[in-house]
Amino acid sequence: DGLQALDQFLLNVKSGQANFTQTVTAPEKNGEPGRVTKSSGTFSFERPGKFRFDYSKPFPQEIVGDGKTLWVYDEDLNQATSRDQQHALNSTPAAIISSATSRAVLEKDFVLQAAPPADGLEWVSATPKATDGQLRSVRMGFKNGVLQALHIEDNFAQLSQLEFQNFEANKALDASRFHFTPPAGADVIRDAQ
Amino acid sequence: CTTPAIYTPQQGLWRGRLALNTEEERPRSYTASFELKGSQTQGELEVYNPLGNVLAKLIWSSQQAMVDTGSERLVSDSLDELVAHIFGTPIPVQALFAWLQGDAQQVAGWQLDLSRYSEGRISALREQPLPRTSLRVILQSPEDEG
Repeated sequence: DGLQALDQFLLNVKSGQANFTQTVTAPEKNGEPGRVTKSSGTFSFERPGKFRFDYSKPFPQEIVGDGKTLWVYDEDLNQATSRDQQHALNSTPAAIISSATSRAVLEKDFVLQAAPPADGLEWVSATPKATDGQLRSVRMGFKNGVLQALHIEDNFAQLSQLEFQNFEANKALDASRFHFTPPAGADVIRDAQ
Repeated sequence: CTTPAIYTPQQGLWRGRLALNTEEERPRSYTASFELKGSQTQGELEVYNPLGNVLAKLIWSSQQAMVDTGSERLVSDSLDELVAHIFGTPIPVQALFAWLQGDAQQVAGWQLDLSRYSEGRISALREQPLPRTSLRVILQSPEDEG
């Protein structure tokens, strides 16, 4: 079931790279369907703790977790914001994919339950234990023990659905990939929040 | 390089990204994408993280302003007061709505640059009073689905 697929993924897939599409659907409002925003890019990770989202559409943006510091770089704004990764991470889905090395690590921050299979995937639902976080629920979809989908619902019922394609599991990734150096001239802000 | 996209404004609706930085000893920075509807007297602002989750929602009318982060709510009797509380420094909300429409309304202490407004770019810098604060906005044409 989903939990076995999650275990397989956490234990067997030490690193990976994939393209992703992200579809954000706003909640319906007075009968009108919510607005849909699409973005896409590439995603890579390496356990423990390293991951990287490179958004190319609708605008270039990089999110890099090097295991200690989480960087968000917006190319148009030419601004790089860094914050302590542990502080920012434990209630976000990226933690699930990248830093967890076992289910027990995940269960510190999430209640994990197998969910019924759908769309040809095995599903796990992860409900954040922290009540002050921004997320209401996360669902992970697996196929043959590899992550294919990550659906995140926030406290305002906005749904962000990441779908992964051409997932290359256990790909040897150069260490520099998870190291971020702000470009010269960029505004660099160490966020104390 | 790619020609910059031309920004086509739409009345009472703005989508894009903002970066607000205050230069104190512990610098505070807010970088997020947003959707803003309405005007200074009545409106709603939603702020998102890169994954598209809503971080906070501000709703206001002329009598009251409220911010909801999904886990806590804060009510104030003025939008200006609420914005100052959230960002840790006062932001000229009334002028901001003018700037968003490309109207270069001057505000004491703020240096405004609307020279790239046709590309949807607004930047404003407040030297005085401290802390030094910079606000930069990049607007996306509302119907551009992204």
